[in-house]
Amino acid sequence: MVSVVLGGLAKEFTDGTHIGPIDLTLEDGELLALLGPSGSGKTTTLRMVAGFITPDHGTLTFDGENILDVPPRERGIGMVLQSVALFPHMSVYQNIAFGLEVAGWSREKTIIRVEALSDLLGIRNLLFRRTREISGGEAQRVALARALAKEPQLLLLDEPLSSLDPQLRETLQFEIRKIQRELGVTTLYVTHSQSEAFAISDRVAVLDNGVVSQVGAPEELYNQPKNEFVARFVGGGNVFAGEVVRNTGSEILVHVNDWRFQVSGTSQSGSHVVFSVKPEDIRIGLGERPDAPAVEVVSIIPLGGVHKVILQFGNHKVTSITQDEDLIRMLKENECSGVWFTFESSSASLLKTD
Amino acid sequence: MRNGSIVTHVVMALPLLLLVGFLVYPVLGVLILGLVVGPGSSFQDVMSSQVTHATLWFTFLQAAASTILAVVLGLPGAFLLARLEFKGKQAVRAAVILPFILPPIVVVVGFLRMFGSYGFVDSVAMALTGATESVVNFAAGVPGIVLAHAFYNIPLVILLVSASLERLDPDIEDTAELLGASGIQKLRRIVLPHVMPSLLGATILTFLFCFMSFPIVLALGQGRYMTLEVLIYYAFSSFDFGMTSSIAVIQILILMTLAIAYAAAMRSDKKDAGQTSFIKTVPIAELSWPRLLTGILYALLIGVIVVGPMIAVIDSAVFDPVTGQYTLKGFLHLLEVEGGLLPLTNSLFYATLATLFSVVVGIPLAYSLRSRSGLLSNSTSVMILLPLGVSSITIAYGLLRFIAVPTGWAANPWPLIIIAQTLIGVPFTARAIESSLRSIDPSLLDQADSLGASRLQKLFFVELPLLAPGILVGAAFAFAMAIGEMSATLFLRREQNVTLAVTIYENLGVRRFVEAGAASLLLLVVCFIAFLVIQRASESAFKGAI
Repeated sequence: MVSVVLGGLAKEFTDGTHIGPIDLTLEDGELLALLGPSGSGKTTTLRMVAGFITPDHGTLTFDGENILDVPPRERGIGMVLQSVALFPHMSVYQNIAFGLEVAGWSREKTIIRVEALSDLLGIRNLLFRRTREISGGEAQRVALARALAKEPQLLLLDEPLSSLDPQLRETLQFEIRKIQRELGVTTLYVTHSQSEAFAISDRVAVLDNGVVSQVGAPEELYNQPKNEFVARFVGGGNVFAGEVVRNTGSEILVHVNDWRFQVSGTSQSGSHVVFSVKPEDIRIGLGERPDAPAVEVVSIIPLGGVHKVILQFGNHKVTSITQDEDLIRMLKENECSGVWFTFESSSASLLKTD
Repeated sequence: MRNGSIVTHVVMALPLLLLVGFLVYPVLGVLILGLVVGPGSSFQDVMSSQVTHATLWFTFLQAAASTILAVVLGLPGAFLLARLEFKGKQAVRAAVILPFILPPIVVVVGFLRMFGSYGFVDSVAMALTGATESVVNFAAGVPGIVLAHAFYNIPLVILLVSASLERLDPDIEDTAELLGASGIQKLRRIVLPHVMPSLLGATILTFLFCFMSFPIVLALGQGRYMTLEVLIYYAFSSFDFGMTSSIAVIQILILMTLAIAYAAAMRSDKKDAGQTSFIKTVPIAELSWPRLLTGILYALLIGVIVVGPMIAVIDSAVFDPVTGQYTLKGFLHLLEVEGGLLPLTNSLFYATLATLFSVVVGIPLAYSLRSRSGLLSNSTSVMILLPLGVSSITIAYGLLRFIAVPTGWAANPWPLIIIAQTLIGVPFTARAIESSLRSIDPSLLDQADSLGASRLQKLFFVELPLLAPGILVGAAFAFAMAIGEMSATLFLRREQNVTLAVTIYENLGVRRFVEAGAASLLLLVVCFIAFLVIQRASESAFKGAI
């Protein structure tokens, strides 16, 4: 298919919002998720790639060729939007065939192509329905078929599943992933949902305030977040900030809320550091321990199989995930006090600070 | 309504009963009279008469020509208004409804000054050709009729189609573009199908209005050109009641068909409309030169046809084309009892009462429209649609035959004039109040309920104050319609019932142009004030959308 390179793409809007500069590379055939909170510039980035927004600065190349001067309809792009945007006055068949018909395909070729696509997406029985007679999930399948009809070299998906209920969303995530692999089409997938990004993509680019914060495979982002934003947005949010009181060369002792934590890594004594610990690496227990801080339980949230326990540690909220049913029962009986938490020094990762 | 007491049922049913009594019964009477033998020509005579055929044919042709012109000239305006971003867009959008509330006879006066012999356009043409005699006269005969109809209906097409265009989802356009559609393909396959129902609705409505147009054809047709509506009037004037009824029957059948077609087109428009979204717009500064030039030329053309006559009314109030001089004669004439004060008093008296009744009847009708009872809301819809399918002259004729004659009001039929004007105003008040009713948050009423308000307390302290802007919009519409009403009034009035609109027509007939002009300017000002009231009130009632 195609590899796409965004080189310092930037756009300033008249209201002062600023997006970019964004540097990002999509490898040939990969599915890259653009993940970020609302307002982080995901959709703007996608629309710059599509050609609906002209960037003020930067380059955009498809297989090394500059594409910025090519109008959207000649870029060979398929797109699916959250609003689906099916043509309301056409049948499902006419929607899928639209791109082929305006490109002047013959009737026979069009029918063969539409039928093949509808088989691929399991919507053959819907072909002659009106668009308002189909369900939300079916509409997304039709929109995907329509986007794929002309065999685009690049597929852009802008929160395609956000308006669907969770179960349907999971099914469709799986199907999109399968079809994308089968066709090998390079895909940019915009989402604000961490779980969706992780479930579907080869790599994830986390966007914060208009710039790419970190790019990597899901595990990489989760295990080695580079900064506080990624740690909070992707890792589930245990971020501690404190002062280094001792540096042993391989470990440091960090003073946080009247407690000293051992953290792997190195930093100057007296410097300020930020580190994160994943919820599943936080161990908790009842009673008192001299080597662990005492905290209070704020809430216990069952997540099916595991429990999420939120603790109050000074002015920090600390989240722990545990599978220990007995512990949870005891925590509930114990009226939420007299609890400690701890973590291995190696499970904490030092974050870059600005 | 919820407790469904007898009182509320009576209040709801009363307006419907009034409409049945003053609209359905007289019109049905006319129908029956037309088909069964009455004095004068029989239905068969009328059907086979040359005059009927010629008039029917002309009515269709002029309506078709006017509709084509209005659509051809209105469609670009609808696209420009929806797509283009420019300063003063809100004002232009608001001003689009202004022609709609201007009295037709005032428009005729403006047209004569703008397009008539020695008018503005003619003067320019004479200067260009160096002629000393009149070169062009677009304000007479077929060109005059068609242009004046275009004046009314270009804004209608712009209003309806641009509203529909603005609901076109920008995502849909983007998607079509990414799928490879060129500008033309997008227009043909996406945009036109989207606006088709509203365009169809606007076309039918335009055709309907032109088909039953009366004052414009009467004044600009100069007796040589007649529509069915004018023929009904002439037949009545010559006491051929059989012919009057028969022509009315033919006209009602055609108009009803059109009104039903319009209702159907509007229904399918609503069905296809998604939630309001904002169409992609283009700032005017980003237009290429040729496009900008085309746009400016278009705006000029619309300016000449639509804005020109309104400005020409002002000039016609002080310019006497007979002497060729500027004079205040017209205004002095307005101060005389016969020439101005009596018609003005009559106009204000009739219009004020008609407005009052339109509101009083309109409020319960609006509630009936929102009623959960299908029978009640459907019959109300039909009642409100009915004046679309029955012309003013037919209503006036029905009232005269079936109300005035039995009650003995025929000698001084002023109550009938008010009833006719009320019937014309009610659809406007009912619609405006219903729109404003729709925008009241139901939880607000539940809140009042939970605070212990009784049904009446709720109505007076919560609902009516919230409805006030909507009522004001409806009332201003009804007032403008009533004070400019000429057809039914001309038909019904005796010597002492003359109104401003009627005097304008009569003055034109005896070539007292400046007297007609001064009265027209007065009506123009009154309607402009009504327009301002509509704008201000609708901003708070429906946040600017009508």
